[in-house]
Amino acid sequence: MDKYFYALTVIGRDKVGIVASIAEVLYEKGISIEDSVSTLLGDQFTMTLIVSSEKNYGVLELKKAFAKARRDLELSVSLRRIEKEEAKTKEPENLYSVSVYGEDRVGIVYFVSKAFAENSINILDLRTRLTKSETPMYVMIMEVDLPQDMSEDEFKKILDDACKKINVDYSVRKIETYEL
Amino acid sequence: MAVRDIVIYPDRRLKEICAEIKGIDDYTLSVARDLLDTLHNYSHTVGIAAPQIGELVRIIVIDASKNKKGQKINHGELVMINPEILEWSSIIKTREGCLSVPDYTGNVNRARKVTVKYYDLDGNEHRFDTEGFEAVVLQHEIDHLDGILFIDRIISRRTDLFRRKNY
Repeated sequence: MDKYFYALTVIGRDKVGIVASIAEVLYEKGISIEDSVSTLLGDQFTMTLIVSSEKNYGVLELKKAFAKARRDLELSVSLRRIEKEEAKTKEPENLYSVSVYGEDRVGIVYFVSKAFAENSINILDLRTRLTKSETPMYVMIMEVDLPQDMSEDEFKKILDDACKKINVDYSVRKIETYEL
Repeated sequence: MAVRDIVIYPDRRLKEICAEIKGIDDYTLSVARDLLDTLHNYSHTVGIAAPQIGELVRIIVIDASKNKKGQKINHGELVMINPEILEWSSIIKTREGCLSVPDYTGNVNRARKVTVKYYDLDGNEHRFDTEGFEAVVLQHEIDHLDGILFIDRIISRRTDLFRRKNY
């Protein structure tokens, strides 16, 4: 049976019941959550989901289904159609976990991500946080996928050059999956 | 003597607490034999617990030497009856997958060092210390005997970066 896929994002001031209100709409429409992540950023709760349906809903029709949740919980909801192939994650080849941190300044995410982009290093996950300490510290934790032919030393050199430019510390750990 | 099918979640047998082996009888020997045959059948698998072949008894087989991460510290191929972790220390984060939970991996905290006790197929008691990969394999397989999957040990990722509580 053919399935139809949509990308859905939700964001709004945090309160109890946001997930339930969104999940209720999906459930009532017979829509499955294929992949998702939801988290609290500051005091904004955000949900990013890939959902699928056996029924081919129009985007507007589906958006309308969220009207009540949007109004009651003051949420921004956006929705678009995606292709079936976009719903599946490609198998990563060469996974590393990267921590970048230092005194807060403008451009930490930019310089690091630019160096990665220029070297075909793909960011699969990225979390950042600014601490509230006297000297605010910026912390950036990433999961990246290196091109298959890139060695760990080459990768470290790229990161080292970028981090020296902006005077931040970094560390790198290979992510190994134990198949047990 | 047979390679057995791996029990796949949501089969409830993976959530049962397995029975202690009271004596080494023909049944115990045949489960051990099948576990080894099944272990040998998968080139990348370093451990199988009895419930993973549908036998709800406390037997595991491991062979950390099959993986390059286990090359430095390992005790080779072992059949372990009533295995038990006596002591542990220090924590490492691992990313684990499992034959019984296809297509899913997750970050799990494990003890880096463990002391384990078990009985062999002649009923002799053994104990040894190990660390790193082999220690993780042992914890993963012994968890199976208590109906615990690695998914039960995953900690929400957000806690990694959570704000420290104000004192």
